[in-house]
Amino acid sequence: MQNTQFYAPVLATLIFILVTVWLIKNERLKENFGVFWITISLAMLLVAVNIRWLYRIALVFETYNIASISYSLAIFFLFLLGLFFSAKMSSYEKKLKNLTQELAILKKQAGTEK
Amino acid sequence: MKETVAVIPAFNEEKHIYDIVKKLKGIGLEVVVIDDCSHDETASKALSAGASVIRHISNMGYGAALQTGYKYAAMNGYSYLVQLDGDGQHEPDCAGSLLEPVIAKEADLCIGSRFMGRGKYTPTFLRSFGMMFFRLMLKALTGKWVSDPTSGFQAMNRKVFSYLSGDSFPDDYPDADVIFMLLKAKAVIKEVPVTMYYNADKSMHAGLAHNLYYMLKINLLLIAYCFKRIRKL
Repeated sequence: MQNTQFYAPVLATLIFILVTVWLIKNERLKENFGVFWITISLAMLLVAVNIRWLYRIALVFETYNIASISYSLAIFFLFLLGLFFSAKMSSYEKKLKNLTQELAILKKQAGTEK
Repeated sequence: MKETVAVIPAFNEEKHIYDIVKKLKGIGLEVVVIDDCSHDETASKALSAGASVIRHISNMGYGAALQTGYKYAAMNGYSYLVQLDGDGQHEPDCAGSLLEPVIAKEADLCIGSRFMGRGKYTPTFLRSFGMMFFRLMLKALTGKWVSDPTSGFQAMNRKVFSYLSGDSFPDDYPDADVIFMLLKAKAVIKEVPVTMYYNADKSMHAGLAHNLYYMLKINLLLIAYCFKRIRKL
């Protein structure tokens, strides 16, 4: 393996971890999402350090090409991520709806609306 | 305990809301209009007709507005609730006949059906197809034949509106899925004939894309409810 093949993904992953930590430190990313992204970063780092794992996975799927398997895994992961955020949004939407309803009823009962 | 409240979810309904509230007040009902953040004079017209108005600070959809009415009724100790649309499709004079079976404890929920001989209602082909589909689905899944599964003109007792105040109630179009959920929850459902008018301008299900979304959504919910453990009423 060439040096650049090893250092480039490791460097990219470290930058990703640093950005995540910086976002949490500045309260621009909530820590529960932060844990999620740090886990992803560490998983990426693990793969970057052990790039041979990707060759093995590629062999299992008979693709013989780590670029294809990387893209496939990335797309699968992005779909999962989309689904996860849809679930999160649904949960926030429900909370928002409940709050709006409670607020409307309480405003009525407090007499701020006739 | 207070007796009966009429709940009207409304979004930009200034054209009809005054007359509807007046008619309901005329038959002795307390009326609550849930103004789903209208941009027009819906709230002031409802107020001037004698209704109480609850205003959402942002537009949350028909289902959410309806549920605000359920929550209000539950919090304020009402025993019975009748719901109708604010677009003039439902004849307010029929509210009494809808409430009768519920007050007489013959049913937990009474659905106003436009297909039981009262008035003349001719839906579009797409709507007729959808209604027939939901009738068959409900029959197949619960064994109960509901002639008008998409009717929003309903009366219910406290048990039902307290039950529907929970998180499972849909935000946009509560229809056959809610009837299915209530049948699974062992609610007694009855239908009575009512007069309904078709209002093409204000129909929630106007447009092909809307209809397709609606059909897919209700079917998805019906399938999900088949596998869900539904709490008894």
